[in-house]
Amino acid sequence: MSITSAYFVFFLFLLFLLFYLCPVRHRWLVLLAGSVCFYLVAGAIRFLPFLVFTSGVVWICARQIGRCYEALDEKLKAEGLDRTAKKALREQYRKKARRLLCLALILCIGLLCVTKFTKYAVRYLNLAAAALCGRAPFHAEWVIVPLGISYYTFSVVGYLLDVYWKRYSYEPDFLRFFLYAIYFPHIVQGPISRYSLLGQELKKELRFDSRRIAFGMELMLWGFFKKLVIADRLNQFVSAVYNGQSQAGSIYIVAILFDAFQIYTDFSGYTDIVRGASQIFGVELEQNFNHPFFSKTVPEYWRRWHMSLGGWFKDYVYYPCTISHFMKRLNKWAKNTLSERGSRFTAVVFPVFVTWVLTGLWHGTGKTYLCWGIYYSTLITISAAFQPEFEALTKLLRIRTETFSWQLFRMLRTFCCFMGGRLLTRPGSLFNTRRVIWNIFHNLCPWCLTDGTIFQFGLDWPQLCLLAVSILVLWAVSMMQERFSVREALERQNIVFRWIIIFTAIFSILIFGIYGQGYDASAFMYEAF
Amino acid sequence: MTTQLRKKGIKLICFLLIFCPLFLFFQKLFQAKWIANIRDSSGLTSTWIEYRNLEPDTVDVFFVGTSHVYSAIDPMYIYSESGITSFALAGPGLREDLSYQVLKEAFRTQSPSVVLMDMSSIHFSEQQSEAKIHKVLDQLPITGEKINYALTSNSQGLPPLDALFPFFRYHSRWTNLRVRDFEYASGSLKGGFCRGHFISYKTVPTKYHFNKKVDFTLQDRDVEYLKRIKKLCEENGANMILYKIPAPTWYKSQSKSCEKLAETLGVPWLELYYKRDEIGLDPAVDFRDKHDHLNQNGCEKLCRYLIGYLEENYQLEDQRATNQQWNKDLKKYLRRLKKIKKQ
Amino acid sequence: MEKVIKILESLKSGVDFKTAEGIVTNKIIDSIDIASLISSLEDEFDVEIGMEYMENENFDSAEAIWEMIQELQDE
Repeated sequence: MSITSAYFVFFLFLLFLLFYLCPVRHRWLVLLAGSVCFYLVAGAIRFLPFLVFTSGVVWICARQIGRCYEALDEKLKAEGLDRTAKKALREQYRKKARRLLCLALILCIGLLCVTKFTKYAVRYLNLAAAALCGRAPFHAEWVIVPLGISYYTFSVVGYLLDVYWKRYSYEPDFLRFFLYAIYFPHIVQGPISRYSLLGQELKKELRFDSRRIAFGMELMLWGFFKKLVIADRLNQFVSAVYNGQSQAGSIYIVAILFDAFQIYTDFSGYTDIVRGASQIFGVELEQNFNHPFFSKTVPEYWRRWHMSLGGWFKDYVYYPCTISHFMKRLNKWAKNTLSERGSRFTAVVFPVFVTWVLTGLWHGTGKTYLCWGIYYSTLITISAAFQPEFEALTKLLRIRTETFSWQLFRMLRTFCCFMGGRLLTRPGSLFNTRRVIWNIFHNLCPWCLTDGTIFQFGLDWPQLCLLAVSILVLWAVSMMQERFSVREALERQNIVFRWIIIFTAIFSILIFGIYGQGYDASAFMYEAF
Repeated sequence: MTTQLRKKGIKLICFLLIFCPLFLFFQKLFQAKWIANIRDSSGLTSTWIEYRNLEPDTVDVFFVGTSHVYSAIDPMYIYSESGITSFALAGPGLREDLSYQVLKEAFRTQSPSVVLMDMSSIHFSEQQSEAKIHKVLDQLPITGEKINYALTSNSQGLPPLDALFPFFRYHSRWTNLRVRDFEYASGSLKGGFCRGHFISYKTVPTKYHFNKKVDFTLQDRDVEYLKRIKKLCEENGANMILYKIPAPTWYKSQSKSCEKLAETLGVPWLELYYKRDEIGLDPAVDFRDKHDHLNQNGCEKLCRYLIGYLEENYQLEDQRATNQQWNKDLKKYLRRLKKIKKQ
Repeated sequence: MEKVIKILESLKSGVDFKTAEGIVTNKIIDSIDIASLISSLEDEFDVEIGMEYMENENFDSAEAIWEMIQELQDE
C-alpha cells in the first residue's frame, strides 16, 4: 500500500471513523491496531518479527537500564557514604547500564547492518564460491530488508540512548512503546522521531478538533501536489535520462537540475502527507524540511534538509564522538602540538568525518554513498576551518554582504553543492557519474535543448509547461511559508476564496497527478477491428 | 456543540454538492470516446447516445453480443426491409457478465419482445483487453451490478476504481483533449444513426471448420449470467433466443454445448451454421476478415433470413409508416452506406 | 563564571555573552563550535562533561554553563 494510492486514502478514512467513534481513552489502541494493519499490508508479514524483535530488545534493555539507575539512586540516598564510595557505586552501576546498552546496540544496529549488507555479502560470497568451486550457493532470496528498518531502528535506538543518558525515564508500558515504534505515518520513510516528542504526543488526549483536522488535510493536499504533480513527473524525465545511453551534456544539466527538485518534492511531499495524516489524529510529527533551497551555507542546508536525520546524527553520533575519550586525548595532543587553528581544526575534522560517512552509509551501501559522505564532510570541514579566510576574501573583494545579490549568490552556491552531492549518487555508480561529468565538459551540445531532443524523455511540451507552472507555485508557497503560516492565512480568507483554492488543489492533483496507467491513444482508438 | 457540529455537517454536504458534479464533469471530459464516423459507424459512445435518444418503447428486438453481432446485424437494413425496429447492443469481446449489465440498462427505456443472444463470446476464456471493457462499461451508469463487477474486475486487468470511475484511468488525457470531449461533457455530442451496426465492404476469403475436433466446455461464469439474463428477459416480458452466426472458428463441440444450455434454459437454439446454404452465405465473399466478422453483403443475407424467422415466430409491428425518428435516421444511414461503399 | 565568558568570547566575537540567551537553541554558536567549547571547558575546569549533560538548556547561557560546571565539580 503506497502512501499515494487510493488504498491509503481509503485506509485513512476507515481509521478516521474508527478512531473518532472510539472513546478518547482508548484511541491510542486504534492507532496501534491501524499501524499494525498498515505495516502488514504495506510491507509483509515476514517483516513484522524484525520490528517486534528490535523494539522488544530496546524496550527491555531500556527498562533494565532505568531500573539500574533507580537502584543506584536508592543506594546513593543511604546514609554514611563518602565521595569515593559514591563514585565507586556510580561506576559499578554505570558499567552494568553500559553492558545492557552495548548488548541492545549490537543486536539492533547489527540487525540493521546485516539486512543492509546481506545483498553484498551474498554477491561476494557467491563470487568467491564460483571462483573456488564453480557454484553460487548463496541465494538472493535470503536477503530480507524489512520495511522502514533504517527509520524505526534509529527511532528506538534514540530512545534507548536517551534513557541511558538519563534524559527521561523509561516507558513501562510495552504497547505504548511499540505504538511509538510502529506508528504508521512515520514507519516507512520517517521523520525519525524522538520519544520525548512523539512518545508524549501519543500519550495526549486525542480529541476531535475540526480546525486541526482541516489543517491536516490541507497539509496532505500540499504533499500530494508536490509528490504526484511535480516529483513523479520530474522522475519520468530524470529516470529516462539516467537509464539510457550517454546523453548530451546540456540534457544532463537539465536532468541534474530536475533531479534536485525531484528529490526535494518527493521526500518533502511524502513528509507533508504523513505529517498531515498524523495531524488529523491529533499527533504532531516533527518537521523534516524547512525550505532547504533557501539555505546560504552547507551547514545551514543540513539544518533544513531531512532535519530529523541530521538532528539524530548530531545528537547520537556527532556529540558523543566529540566528547569521546579518543577525541579528548586527540584534542589534548593537538592543543600541545599544534597552533590554535590547528587544534580547532582537529576538534572538528574527525567527528564530522565519522558522522558524515555514517550518514552516507545510512542512505545506501556502496561506493557512491561513501563518496557522498566524504564529499559533505569535506565541504563542512572546509567551511568551518577556513572561515577566517573566507571572511578576509569577502572583505578583499569588497563584497557587500547585506545585499540581496550576495544572499542570492550564497543560495545558488549552496544549491550547486547540493547538486554535486546528488551527482555522486543519482546516476547509480561512480562510472556513470564520470560519464555524466565527461559529457558536460566534452559534449555540451546546447542546441539539444531547442532541437526537440528534450522531448524524448517522457515529457512533451504541455507537460514541461505544467512543470514550470507547478514549480512556480511551489516557489511562491515556499516564500510564503518562510514568512507566515499559509494554512492560518487561508483560514482567515473568505470562504469562497478558500474553497476555490482547495478545489483547484484537489482537481490539480486528480487531473495532473502521475498515477494509474498512462493513456496511449493508439492502443485505445480502434480496438477490435 | 451541536450547532457547531451541524454547521460543519452543512459545510461538508455543500462541499460534496460542489465536488461531485465537478468530478463527473471532468470524468465525462476525460474518458475515452468512441465516435461513430465513416471509419467506425458503430462508435460505442455515439451509439449509446443514439440509444438513449430513441423514443421509449419503440424497439422490438435486441441483438446482444460481440463484434460478430455488430458486424453481422444491420438494424437499419432490417427496418428498411420489414419495418421491425431492432438494436445491436454489442461490444468487442463482450462477455456475458457485461451483457447482463448492458441489457439491464437497455431495458430501462425500451421493452422489446425478443432478445437474441449471440454465442460467439463463449470462445473467449482469457480476459479481454481493458480498452474493450471500458468501451462498454463506461457507457453504463453506476449500479449495484457495476459495483459488483468492479469488485472482481481486478481479475480482468481493471482496477476497481478505474472500472467505476473512468476518471482515474483517463485523467492523463488532459494533454490531448479534442472538441468532441467538450461536446460530450456538455451533452451536445450527437448520437449515431446506424443502430450499433458496423458497416464494411471489405472482403477476405475464408473457410468453415465446423467439424474440426475441438475440446470445449462452457464456463460457469457464462452459464450463470445467461441464467440471469433469462430471468431478466422474463421480468421484462421478452423472449430470449440463443443463436450463432456461421463463422470459420465455430466448432461442433461448441454448438452442442450451446444446444444443451438452451435446453436447460428452455429457450430456442438457432444454429445458423446448418442454415448457411438457405441464408446463402459464402465464406469466400461474405467475410471482412479472418476473425469471423461478416461484411455488409453477408450481413444483409443474414438479416433477410432473420427477418423471415422473426416474422414467422413473433408478432412484430411494421413501423415504417409511423416511426418518424427511424425514417429520418434511415435516410442518413443510406447516405453513409453509399459513402462507405464508394471507398 | 568570567572564565566561561572568556571561553565563549574566544569562539565567537561580537556577542555579549554576559546576557546572551539561547546560545545553542538560537544558533549563536553552531554544533561545530560546541565541540571546541566543550574541550576548552573540560580543560579549564578539569571536569568531564558526559552525554547526560549534553542538552540545550545546559548551554543556552553563561549562567547555565557555570551551573553545570559546578554540578560536575561537586560529583
